[in-house]
Amino acid sequence: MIAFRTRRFQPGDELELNTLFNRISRKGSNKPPRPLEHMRWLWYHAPGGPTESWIVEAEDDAGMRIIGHHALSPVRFTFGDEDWLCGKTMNTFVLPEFRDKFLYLRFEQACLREVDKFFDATYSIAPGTARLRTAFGYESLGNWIRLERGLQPLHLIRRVIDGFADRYSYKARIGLLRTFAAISIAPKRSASLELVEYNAAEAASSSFFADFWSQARREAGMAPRRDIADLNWRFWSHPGFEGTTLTYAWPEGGRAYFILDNTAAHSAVYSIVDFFITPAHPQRLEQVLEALFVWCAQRGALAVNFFVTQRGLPPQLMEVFLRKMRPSPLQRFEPAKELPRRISTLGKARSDGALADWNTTEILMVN
Amino acid sequence: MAPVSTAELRELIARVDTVADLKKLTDTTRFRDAGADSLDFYNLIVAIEEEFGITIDDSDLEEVNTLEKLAKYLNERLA
Repeated sequence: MIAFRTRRFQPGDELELNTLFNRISRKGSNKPPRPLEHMRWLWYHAPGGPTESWIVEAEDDAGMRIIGHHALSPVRFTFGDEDWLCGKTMNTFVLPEFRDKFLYLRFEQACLREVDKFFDATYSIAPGTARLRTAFGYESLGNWIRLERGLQPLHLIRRVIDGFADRYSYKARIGLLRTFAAISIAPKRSASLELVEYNAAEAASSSFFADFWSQARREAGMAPRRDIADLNWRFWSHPGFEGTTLTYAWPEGGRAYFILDNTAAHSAVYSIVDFFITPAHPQRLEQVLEALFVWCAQRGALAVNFFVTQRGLPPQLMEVFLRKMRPSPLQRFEPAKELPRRISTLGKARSDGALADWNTTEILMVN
Repeated sequence: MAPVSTAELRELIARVDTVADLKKLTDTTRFRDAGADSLDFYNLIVAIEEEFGITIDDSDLEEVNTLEKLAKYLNERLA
């Protein structure tokens, strides 16, 4: 007979847990395993505090071992002058061979109870789990949509290559994409304004970001906080991130930035992983988006994409994105990805039970 | 107290919002084989615990994965 035990995560669990995470999440994929230092960064360095993490152990004839896990990573939000703290589910799993033997949802519910007066809300980006989490009062904030803008004629070939995702190795696909990007001819275009480019270290010490969020938060609605500490943890100092930050400040006031991920996986397709414009002016967004497309095309990118939820941006900005970019045609072949959110007891008390939609981007996808 | 029957449990499952195909659920079919997912199983366990005032431990879950086994388990627990 198997005996189960649940307990709080301890630092000594790191290696076993990370190994299990890689075994489950990388199964059947050529994605490189997550290094331990990457996990430690996520668990211990968030500006909102350490990750709340719980372990399920099973004891049988072979001894005691980890067979399941649930965690909530603290993500700071603001709502006008108010500070909010939300928890993102992290690396939740039960090993397949124990799914009939252990009631995972009861375990997750117990974990939620422990932090119900700590987090204002919790959310998940794990695909296919939205229905399961309705048991705890999670409600969908809509599906994630991938918008795409082709920059060069050869970007269409990339779609074909993506279609072979399971047939060829990760390395082979990236090699092909790089080759196409190298031989592709960048259209001769110029932008009406010039974006200022920062690497991670420059962005983290720039005056642009020093007071950015203290101004932008006033009109951001409920949104993930973008202080330097938050952007540093999520992107600039994150061990898995390689990207570029592009900013623009209008002489008469108003600022915008884009954080682009151009790691190996996106070497020919740049991803806008975060963006903000203040004030939320649609014509200005068009200007900076055009400048961004030119910047990316000049560096050989075949396309730019942007992952956002249907209700993730103010409507006047979403309208511009939907006009300047197009939903990715490959999306129809992928399972729908929802953004389920649960308001905690604490959050309900602070909001009279009704929480605004989140003004957000892929910044929510902490991983 | 009258013994718990599989018919009674079937009614209980029908009350739970489930994706399982109840037509496929014979007394000896495993819930998962009838299409029940983790949420269905969780809802069923919660409903049973509320209905019969007991707690089903995780180590007992393998003993309650069909209607027949579940009825037997409950009758033993409630005896």
